[in-house]
Amino acid sequence: MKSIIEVQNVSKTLNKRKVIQNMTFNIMKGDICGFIGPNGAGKTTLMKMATGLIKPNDGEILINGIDVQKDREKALSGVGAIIEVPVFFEYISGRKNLRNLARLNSGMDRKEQLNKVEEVLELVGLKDRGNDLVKNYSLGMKQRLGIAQSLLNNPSIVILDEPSNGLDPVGMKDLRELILSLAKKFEITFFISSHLLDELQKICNKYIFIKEGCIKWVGDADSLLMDKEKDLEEIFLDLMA
Amino acid sequence: MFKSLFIYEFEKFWFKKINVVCFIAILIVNFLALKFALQSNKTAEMTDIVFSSSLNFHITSLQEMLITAFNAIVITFCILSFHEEYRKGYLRMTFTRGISISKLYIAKSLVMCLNIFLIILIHCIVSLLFALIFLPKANVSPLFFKEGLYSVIDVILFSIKYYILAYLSLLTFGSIIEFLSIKCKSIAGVLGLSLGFVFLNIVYIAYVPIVFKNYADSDPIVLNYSSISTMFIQAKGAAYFAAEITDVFLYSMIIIFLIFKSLSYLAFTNKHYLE
Repeated sequence: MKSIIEVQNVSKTLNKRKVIQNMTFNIMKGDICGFIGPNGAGKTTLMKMATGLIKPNDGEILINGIDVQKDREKALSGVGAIIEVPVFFEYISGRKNLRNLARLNSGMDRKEQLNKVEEVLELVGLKDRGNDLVKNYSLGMKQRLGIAQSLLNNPSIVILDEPSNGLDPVGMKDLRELILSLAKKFEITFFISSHLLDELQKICNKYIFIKEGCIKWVGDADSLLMDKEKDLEEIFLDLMA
Repeated sequence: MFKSLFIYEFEKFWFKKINVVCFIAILIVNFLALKFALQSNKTAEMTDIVFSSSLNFHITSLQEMLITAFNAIVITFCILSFHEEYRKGYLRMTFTRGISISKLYIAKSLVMCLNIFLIILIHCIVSLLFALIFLPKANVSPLFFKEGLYSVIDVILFSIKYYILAYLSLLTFGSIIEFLSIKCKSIAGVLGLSLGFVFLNIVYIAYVPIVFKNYADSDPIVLNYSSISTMFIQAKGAAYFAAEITDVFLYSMIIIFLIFKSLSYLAFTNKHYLE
């Protein structure tokens, strides 16, 4: 299978603290990969480096075989991402937010961009609420609108940083089903960081556990959960001990 | 792609209600300037420079508002377009897309230049309309730093030069605030440094005549030293330039603009965004 994200010997120091230390892993096409670690483990920092928001001190990150640092524009052309929290103009509608961002879709004329907006609104279940002001959206709706933003450029990989934060059980279920349907329907690869291990266990086929900037475990869900006695939370606690 | 980026930025500018309010404020500020002009006209002769007529109100009102209202508007534009978007995450969505950050910066800058131009243009149109409706009609008018009364053609030529330098001074002031907006981590920091910059300018303007007390106000040495102050240019420099006394203010504004635009560009395109 083809590697979509290749993280090779990546290190990052922030404020004299080694946040990421010599990290290496691959994510293959079609994976839904859970990125797990305690607060301050370096999950968001790694995701920021993968999306070109900050650069590593050492090592390289390749997306679809292209180095993010060397050819940022080309590497990120097939990436959709929500880093930290999705950000919108709150006092305009969700549809207008998307129509504005869709202008950045190169290779599409305006009609195609507008069709794409309707398509992603439909996908995330916001078509009927598209004309509502974003400030009137619930947290779950904002999260879905964020995913709609990240889908606008037909990405082959979507990077989601703590997408379930603050969602109620219904919101989490909706998000989970959305990710699974997108992965199945469009073969989108997902790279998701989260603290909510139960949620990840329901969708991921691959896990990466990190602690203090170092990888503790990488592998398939099947091999991690071979011991039926333990759930993901117990495995996480064992690995972090 | 660049055209799309420009439209994307232009749309975003108009999504922000405060920017729209700034444009509406031009009407209110013009109205206040008109009120002040009607008051001053009661005690002034038609040959006095302070007398506002249909021919010169667009110049006198701009001179009154340039340092205060227009600079405040430019600070607002810069904070919303650069600080807010750069620091509060609005640009994260753009930065994580496969687009050129250099082109994004150029598009943002052009949108800023265009909107400052629109502010000046709206001011000019509104002040001309107010003057035609509410102020005495005149065929000749006195002009800043020029002796005698001048015809309509002379006033038009003076106005074009005055407005060009006023526009350039706003762009230059904007480039400085833009740099502060990108570098400062909080709005309080941007506002504090912006006001500090204005205060320093005022101190500098007051200090130059003390140092050069043996020179006339329009002596080239005094004007050269004054030319590094954007506030001085807004207060007097634009009129010196329009009156064809010196071109030094034009060159100094272009140089300061280019320096701060380059610094802003380097800061904006820094690969450590969000670090």
